[in-house]
Amino acid sequence: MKNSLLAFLLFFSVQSFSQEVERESWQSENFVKFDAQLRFQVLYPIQFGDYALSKAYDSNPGVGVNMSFLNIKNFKIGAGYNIEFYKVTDKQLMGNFNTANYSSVFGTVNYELKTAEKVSFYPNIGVGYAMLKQKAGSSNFGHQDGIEYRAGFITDYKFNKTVSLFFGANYIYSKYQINTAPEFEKFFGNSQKIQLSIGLQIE
Amino acid sequence: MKKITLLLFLALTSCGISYDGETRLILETTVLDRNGDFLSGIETKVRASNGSDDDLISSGFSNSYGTTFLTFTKPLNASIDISFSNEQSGYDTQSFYNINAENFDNYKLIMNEVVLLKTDDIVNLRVSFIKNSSEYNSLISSRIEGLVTGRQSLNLQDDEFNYPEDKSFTVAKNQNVVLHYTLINNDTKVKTVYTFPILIENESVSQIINY
Repeated sequence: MKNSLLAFLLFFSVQSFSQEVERESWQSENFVKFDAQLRFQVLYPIQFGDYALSKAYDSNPGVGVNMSFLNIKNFKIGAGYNIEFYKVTDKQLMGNFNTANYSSVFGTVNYELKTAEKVSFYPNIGVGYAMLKQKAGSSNFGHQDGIEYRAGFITDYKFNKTVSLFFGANYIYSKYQINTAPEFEKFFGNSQKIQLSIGLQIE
Repeated sequence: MKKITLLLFLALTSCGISYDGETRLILETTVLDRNGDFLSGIETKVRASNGSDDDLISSGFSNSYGTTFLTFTKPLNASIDISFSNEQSGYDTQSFYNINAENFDNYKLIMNEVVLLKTDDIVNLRVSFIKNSSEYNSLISSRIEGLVTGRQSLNLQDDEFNYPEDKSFTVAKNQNVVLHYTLINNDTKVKTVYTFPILIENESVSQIINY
């Protein structure tokens, strides 16, 4: 019994000591840190599924900017803005406008996995506000507000301490406000895509 | 400089037609000829207009089953006009104007079948309304039931003050049509609908209606 008690006290004291060391270590490594990483990117969306953006539009390259500003251990919290450009290919299905712009403002959480000295891999998830705006020249044919959910990854290669090249791929599911006949609600009210991105990261 | 300022002012103050991008309306109809056969390749145009502005908001062609399917965003400050035409095949253009939200059921336009008539198969029907009665009546609307083409209002709006006493309709040859017209008693404000059958043969017809 004495031996058991001694062993328990010894184990508890070792555990307490190790937690103390770990806490000090976290504090010394800035466990929570404000650290800006700015990414400028070119996007290419690949729409799929039985939805309007997939069936009645052609995708064109878009652009985006993304910033991580808060690190919690290996988690990097940030926000971004993307805009993608689409050309209407089926006017009978969509109406007599020529183009649509898909823009989104979103928040993301990236998790940094260092895979090599100069290479990191960041799985990420995010959610944001999306807007699909329909245009014919300067005429505005209205817009749809919506929400997007995203999950994917980026991977970067560090040239030096400041500049990195990165590549990313995200699955993005969007849901828009729509009032139409019930059989067309999903078609005009949803979209899904794989969004490929390449760009420069500055930190 | 003044001209530039004026142009800038006009550009900034010109509102145009605005649209509700979150409401998508649907037109699905079948285009037939007089014999009930499907007509393919008929161009359908949907326009939004509000008197000062006019936008082509959707267009397309009927398929081999005569089916036309179009979708478009809802104009907010304009009514909708729809036309069906294929002049190269010798069909007269059929158009409907003054279409509004009441014509849509669950965002779909209620327009089951559209019959196009050949231009060599139509004549003019002129109806002259002549007031003979001592009663204090006014003519407020009229329409033709039968094979009619040309430009028609989908919503018949009573016009108590300015309804024309001469109306022309473009109708198919060799048919019986029915004229419906509405009179309002200006004292009692009671409306009464009358019907009058008219035989159309190979020539244009002038019909006088005494009321």
